[in-house]
Amino acid sequence: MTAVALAAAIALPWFAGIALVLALPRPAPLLAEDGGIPWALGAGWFAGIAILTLIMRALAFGGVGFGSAAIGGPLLALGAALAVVAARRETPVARPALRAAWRVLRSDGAAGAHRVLWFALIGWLVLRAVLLASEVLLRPLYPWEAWTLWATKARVFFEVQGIVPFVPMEAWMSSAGGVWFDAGPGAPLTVPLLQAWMCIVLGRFDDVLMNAPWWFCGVALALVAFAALRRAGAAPLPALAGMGLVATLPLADAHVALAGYADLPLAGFVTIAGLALYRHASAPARADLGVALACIAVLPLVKSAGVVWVVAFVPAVAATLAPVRGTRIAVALFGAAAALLLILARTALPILGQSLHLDFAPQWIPFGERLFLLGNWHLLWYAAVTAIACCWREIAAPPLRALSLLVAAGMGYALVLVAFPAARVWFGEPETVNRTLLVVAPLTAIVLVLAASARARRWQIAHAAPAAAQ
Amino acid sequence: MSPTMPALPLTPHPSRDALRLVVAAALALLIVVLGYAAVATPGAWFPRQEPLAWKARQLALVRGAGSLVGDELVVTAAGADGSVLISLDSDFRSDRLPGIAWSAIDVPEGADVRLLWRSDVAPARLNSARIAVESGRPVLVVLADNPAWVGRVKGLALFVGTRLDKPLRVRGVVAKPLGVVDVVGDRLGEWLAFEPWTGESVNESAGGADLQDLPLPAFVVATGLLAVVLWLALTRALKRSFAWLPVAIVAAFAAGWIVLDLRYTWNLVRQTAETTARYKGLDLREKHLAAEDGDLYAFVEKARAALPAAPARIFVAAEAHYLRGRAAYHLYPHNVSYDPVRDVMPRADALRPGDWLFVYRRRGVQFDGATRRLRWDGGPPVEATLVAGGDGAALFRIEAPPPRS
Repeated sequence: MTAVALAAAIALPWFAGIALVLALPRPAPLLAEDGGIPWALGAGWFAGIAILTLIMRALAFGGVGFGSAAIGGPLLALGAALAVVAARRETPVARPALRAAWRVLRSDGAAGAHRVLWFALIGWLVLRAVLLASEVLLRPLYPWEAWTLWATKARVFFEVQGIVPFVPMEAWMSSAGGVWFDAGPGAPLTVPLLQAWMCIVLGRFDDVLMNAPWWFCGVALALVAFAALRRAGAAPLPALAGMGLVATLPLADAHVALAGYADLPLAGFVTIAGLALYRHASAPARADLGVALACIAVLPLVKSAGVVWVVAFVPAVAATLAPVRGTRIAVALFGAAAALLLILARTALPILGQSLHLDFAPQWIPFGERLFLLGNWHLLWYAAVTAIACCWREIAAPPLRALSLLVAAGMGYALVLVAFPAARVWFGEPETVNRTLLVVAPLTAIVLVLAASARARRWQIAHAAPAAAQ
Repeated sequence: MSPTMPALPLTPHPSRDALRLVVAAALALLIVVLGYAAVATPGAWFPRQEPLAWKARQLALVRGAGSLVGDELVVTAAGADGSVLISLDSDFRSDRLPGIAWSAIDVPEGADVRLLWRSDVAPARLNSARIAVESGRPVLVVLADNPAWVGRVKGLALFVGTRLDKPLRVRGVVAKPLGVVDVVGDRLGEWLAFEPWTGESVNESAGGADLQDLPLPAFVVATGLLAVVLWLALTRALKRSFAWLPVAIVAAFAAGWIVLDLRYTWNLVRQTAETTARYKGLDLREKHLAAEDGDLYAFVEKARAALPAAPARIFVAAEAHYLRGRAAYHLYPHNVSYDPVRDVMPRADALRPGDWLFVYRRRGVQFDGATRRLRWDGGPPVEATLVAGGDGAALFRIEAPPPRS
């Protein structure tokens, strides 16, 4: 019974999300594209989270108590309606698309060594997924913030069958009841609502199984990476290798195994928004732009620092919408941000009775250790430095420019937190900058694969003639 | 193939390019290992001296309380001055054994831990060197460059300058010659050291032992970089095309990533085995009882049985912020209040009749059962009823706050 409830709790929002992704208006069927199916599955998972939690917010706003039927009914109805819309365009290509995906999965027609590599990589990724699933499905809620500011709300929402306010200590002390307190009363509600939904369907507060969505977040992120590379024209094996880079990032895996934080879902929405912008930059389509803007709009609902990520998207959106002028705007925005930091570091501006000042107290050595020497990122940031040195032309040119600007803005944000540690308090960021980087790490890996491929092409052209002469 | 994602460049003889890369990688690995060994080996590469080891039964507990249990010297309490001192008699040439490794577990993190020794050069002088502690274990001390590590070492000691929260277990000590085999073995040991999940794992991963003389990513990058450089050199020497260079770089990068991920996966396998052994087959309640805060959970269960079904206002107090937060978490959906950062009790005059006070391992709280007076930190008493009690734990119902002055 528990397995059925767990499957239903996962499948319902996922179904609605997939239906939404497939129903978005586009000139050609999504499933007919290379990578269309994994994109629908991966992006659909995160779309499902957004739809589910928006429905729960709407129910709470309307005074309807939470329950499996009260939430699942609208979710199913919406999913079905979207599926009907999607079916008109996607059904004719669904069967051939599934057959093609099956052929890709079996590595049909590939040479011997290619096939060995393909299945070895798949085996490796499946092993990783199994190990992480074992952790998620066995361990009670473990990491600190998960039980100080996320699951606290989930527990209350589940028990009172609705959303109740969490307030700061002073307000709690003076209240006559009906308000609750935890370590993060202002934290957004997406994560607690997702956990509450899992418990509602399970019929009990279960702080082990309510974390299952984090495993699916990890899988969905990996699928999105594979899909993005396939849709960009990568052959299945390089796309799988790129997916492997995303799926084996140690810190991302830690957030899957020790589920309950908002960083991984936030990374998912940022990645999908970035990739949708990249798609739009490659071949303008309103659907992709809509996906990007919708995902960006969701960010503040996932984590308080999501607001900062919305700002980080501004240069990328500008460069996507107006490649020439937008790039100038983006450069100007980076300059303005640097100037603002300089002003804040050199002055103490009184605003609303508060003195705004940032002390320049950089912690470069611990930052460097985290990026390059500890076990957080494997070789991701070494590769990023190499790519900046060797592939800067590809990184700076369309269609990668928008993604590169987003990654640069994310890195810039991380650098601000390192150089001005007090800013962490403003943005509600943790002590370590690793979790800030986690948000942009999957996109960084994808940018690296795309840029390196394009650079290799340029190198090939330059050396083709001499090589052929040998 | 789409124009945006081309195939990697090919040369007329890719297998020759690949072979050159394999040769270059093997050479690079050899050069990096030998280069590191040359820098990190303090004395002879292949010393004739064998390591000297002392077992727990050969150690003397000079300061502190404890006893020999099996193969371990179990120190249960520090001495009157708040420190532990364990010594042994020795007699060996310091230049032949420059590494001292204490085998101990549950050494308090952040404590002042030192190696003490006397030598026959200055017998009256007590020398010391700081010992780093990682995951509760002392790290190998290398004394080759220590000016006091001279002559014959006539006595060694381990000093732990703190009171003990839990027993310190010492298994022995080894004096190592630190030849190249020791150095390489120590690095492998650091890279493959089990790194279990901790509260910090979502923020940071060390990638093996907490302290590493040579982090694995640095070693991997140095080797990969050198391999590519050697491939370029070989290719140039043989007057071949550089068209295969992108493949060489990608291959070196992939190999490095795989090495790092093999280590990570091996660690994850061990972690999964540990998690499975701890939680498999247990229901939710049993899992919580088996967790790190199982004792707390057990008392919260007892307290919840005494609490009303409707959410009640509960103030949570505990000295350790971990326990305060965990107690609060287990008490939701009751209306819980606690200070997530500081160990502060609620103001007595802020309490209302019908409020609850949950206290767990918190000193300074006094309750007189006869008069039903509850007070803390020297503040005014409130009238309360002890509803549930346990070892260092109590749940009180507030009957009346102190009269307002």
